Amino acid sequence: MKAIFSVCVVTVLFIFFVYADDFLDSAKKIYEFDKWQGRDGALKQGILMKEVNLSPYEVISERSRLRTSGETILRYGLKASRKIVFEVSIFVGDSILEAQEALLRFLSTCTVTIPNGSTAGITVGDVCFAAKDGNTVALIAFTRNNVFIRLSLLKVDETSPDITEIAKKIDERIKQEEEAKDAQDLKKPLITGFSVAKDTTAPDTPVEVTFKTEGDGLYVEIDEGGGMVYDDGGKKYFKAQNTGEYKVTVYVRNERFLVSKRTITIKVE
Amino acid sequence: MRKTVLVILCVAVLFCGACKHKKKKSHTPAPTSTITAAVTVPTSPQTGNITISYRLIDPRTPTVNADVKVYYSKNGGNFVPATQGAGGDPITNLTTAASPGASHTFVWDSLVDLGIGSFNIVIKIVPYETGTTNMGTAGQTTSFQVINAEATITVGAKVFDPKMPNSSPLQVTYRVNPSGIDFVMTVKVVTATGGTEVVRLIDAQTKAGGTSHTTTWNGKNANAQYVDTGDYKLRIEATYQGLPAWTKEEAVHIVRLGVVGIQFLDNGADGAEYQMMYHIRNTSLYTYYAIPSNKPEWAIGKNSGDVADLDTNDGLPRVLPSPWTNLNSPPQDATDPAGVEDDNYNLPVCYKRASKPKFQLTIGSNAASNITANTQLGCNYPITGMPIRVIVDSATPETAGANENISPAGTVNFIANTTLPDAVKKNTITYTIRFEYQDGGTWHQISGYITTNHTVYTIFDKPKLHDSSTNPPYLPWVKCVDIVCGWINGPATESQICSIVVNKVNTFFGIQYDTVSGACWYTTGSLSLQTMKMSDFIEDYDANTFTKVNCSDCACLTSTFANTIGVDHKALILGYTTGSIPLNYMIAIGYSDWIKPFGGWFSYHAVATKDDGASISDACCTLDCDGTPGSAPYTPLLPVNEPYASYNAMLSSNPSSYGTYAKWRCGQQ
Repeated sequence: MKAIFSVCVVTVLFIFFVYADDFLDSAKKIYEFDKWQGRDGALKQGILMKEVNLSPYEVISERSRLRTSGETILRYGLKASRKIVFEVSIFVGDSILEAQEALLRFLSTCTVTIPNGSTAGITVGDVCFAAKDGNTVALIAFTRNNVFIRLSLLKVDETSPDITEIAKKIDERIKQEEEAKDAQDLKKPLITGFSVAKDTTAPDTPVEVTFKTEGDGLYVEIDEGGGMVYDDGGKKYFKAQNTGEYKVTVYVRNERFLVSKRTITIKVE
Repeated sequence: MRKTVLVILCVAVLFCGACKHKKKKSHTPAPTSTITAAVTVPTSPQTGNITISYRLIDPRTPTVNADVKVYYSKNGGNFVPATQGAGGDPITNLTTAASPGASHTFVWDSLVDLGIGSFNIVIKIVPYETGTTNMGTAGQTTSFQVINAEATITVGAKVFDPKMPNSSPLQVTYRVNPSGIDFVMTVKVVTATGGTEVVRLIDAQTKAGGTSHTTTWNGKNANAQYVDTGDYKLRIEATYQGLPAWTKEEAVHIVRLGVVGIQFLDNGADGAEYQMMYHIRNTSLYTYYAIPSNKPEWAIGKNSGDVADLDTNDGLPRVLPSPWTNLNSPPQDATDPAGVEDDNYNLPVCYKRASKPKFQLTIGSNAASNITANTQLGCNYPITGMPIRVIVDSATPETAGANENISPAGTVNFIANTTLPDAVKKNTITYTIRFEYQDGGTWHQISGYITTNHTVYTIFDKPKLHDSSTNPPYLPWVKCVDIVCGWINGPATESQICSIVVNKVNTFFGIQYDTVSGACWYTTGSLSLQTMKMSDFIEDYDANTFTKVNCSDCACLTSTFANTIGVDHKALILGYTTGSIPLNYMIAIGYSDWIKPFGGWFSYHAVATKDDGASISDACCTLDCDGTPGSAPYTPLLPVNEPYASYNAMLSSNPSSYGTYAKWRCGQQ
């Protein structure tokens, strides 16, 4: 019985990894991933986007992808109309390879093979891909060091900005950013003391969770794992209506888009 | 001789008759005593127990005590003995005295002798020497008026909740007999204990006797405040020319009735209920809020600092909540740590189509004073001998009789009498909740009723949003359920639902294909399992700030909307590692031209399938179904449950050059 179970588990894992490896392997071939440049560069302490002047455009809204791809999407538009004109997606990896794999993942979900940026005369980043809508560049995806940037025009018309210029500004900013010696040297936001008062609680019974964060310009997001985390009297509590095992994850992103996350498990029974 | 005897007999008979007649005419034979009664005429009018003052005069020395007999004559009729009432002097062994005599009183219970009415009365008092038949000289009054009246008062119901919505004021009927007299009438409400006046409904109005009059009481005091719960009396007081008032009272129980919770429940095979959730609990995305399955969906109650669940602290009834219409987030409450309004709300409900909803009523447990702020009151029931029951029109108690003899804070389960529509749609159902009390074996209605409206979505079947999780975010989102129910809005088969969902995804939102890169805009993750960023999609839908979509987005939208209402779909990836897809002509979503996008090749294509790939639905691409999809003319077809082979024959110029890569129910955030 144990053997059958083990075989099943192994089979499931095998299928998962085959899918995953299959998937990336295929993309790697298509995009000649092994030839990508810049892997020997330094790690950057993220990018301080607020120092990148994209006037007259400004951030109208943000979108978090911390729970899935780890990206943050800044949606830019004109202040007066608040209409979104283009998006800048930012991902900062712990390594250059991680950033380039994020770029590869993005490319792999496009239904068309995206041309190398050089074919459109775009030379930003270590690795760059770009796509045009007519004669207008509508998509630029590039990595510089451990930073993956994706720029997308929402609509192409005569008022559309030149996102090549925007990409250059962002790329220049990344170049100026401070370097880190290694992944441990990245000035990620800190999540300390993440704990739960009791590992096990009853349905609808709050249990206190604690954690502290440190860093500049922090954005905190809590994946409640299907339960609910809420503030009460300056403290945070978790509760869930149904029995089960809940994984509560705290994501913290700083103003340089460096992300930390911690997970705890709480049983409700 | 015989004639003489006959004449004598006749004369004798006539004489005797004359004597009898004389006796009838006068009760008073010739005096045999010197005692004389002198009677004082009472002032008119009199009523009830009437005190007759008289003097007994005996000129002799020593005087002799007397007994008296008292008679009355009504409206000129014969004298008949008067009934002695309480008080006054006895009627035997009374002292006498020389003129002006010894004073005495006789209390006449006129009500016993006369009953109700208006009368002209003469009182006669005949004295006797005590213990003998020696009769003195009688005295009598001249005629005086006696009015004996009777007041009655009745109420429309003995149990009244003036704060009950839709209640009518309490009907009060009052009357004073006899007719022919105008009485001055006052109708008031007094406390049952102590008789303190609460409010005067009729204030000293002259009204005709013998006629029923009506007024109403709205349950408020003289200051227009709702009276506190408790026992009260309706009292009528009638007077006539200074006579003592005739009064009558009728008890009424002021109660506080109401429902503070309606929790919809799963009704097993007769009605599966499905928990829904909002995708924004507070102000940010991804703080999900599952509508609790163990709490009422409709509720009123105490907020922090409140003293009662049925009333606010000023003693006014709580406003009943209307259905909550924000589809993204629940009502907010600044005092609730979770940020969700938890005491006064009306959240939507989701049942399988053709269900009979089952729901639990929670009866309110306390009231608040409208007179003294911040003061909790009891509901003043159960009432001994008068059980109260709750009735829901169009629903039946789950257990017979369970709705009778309710108590504050009790619960009663009901099952709807009629089924919800056998359709996928948004419904508004209304329950009318009433209360009755039992008195004398009969149920009587308590004025007023509560009407509650509920948004109830009926969906096709159990939602199938994710393979493993039944927690947020893998519960049906209210917004998504609302959108799809709006699309279907009626009876539909599984195939019809597929068709509607695919067509609506293609046209409803006005979204356009990303012809630049075919990149995912609302889905993330690798093609082995993607997550639909439904929060972002809805945000853009609400703000009309759509970006673009690709096939993954369309496949995940289609499958998520279908799965939300229980029509099982997966996303299916064609091509990719199994080979690129050479394309025929198509119309991409949001466009109208027939094109071969991206130079005629997809690296992959995502579609939706309800049967693991045997058939395919594609909201992203309108294909040419005329049998020659590689060239004009084109016959447009938005594929819905199209067999795999025929779908691919339309999509691709070489269907055998690729296969299926993966299929999954997408995640949802």
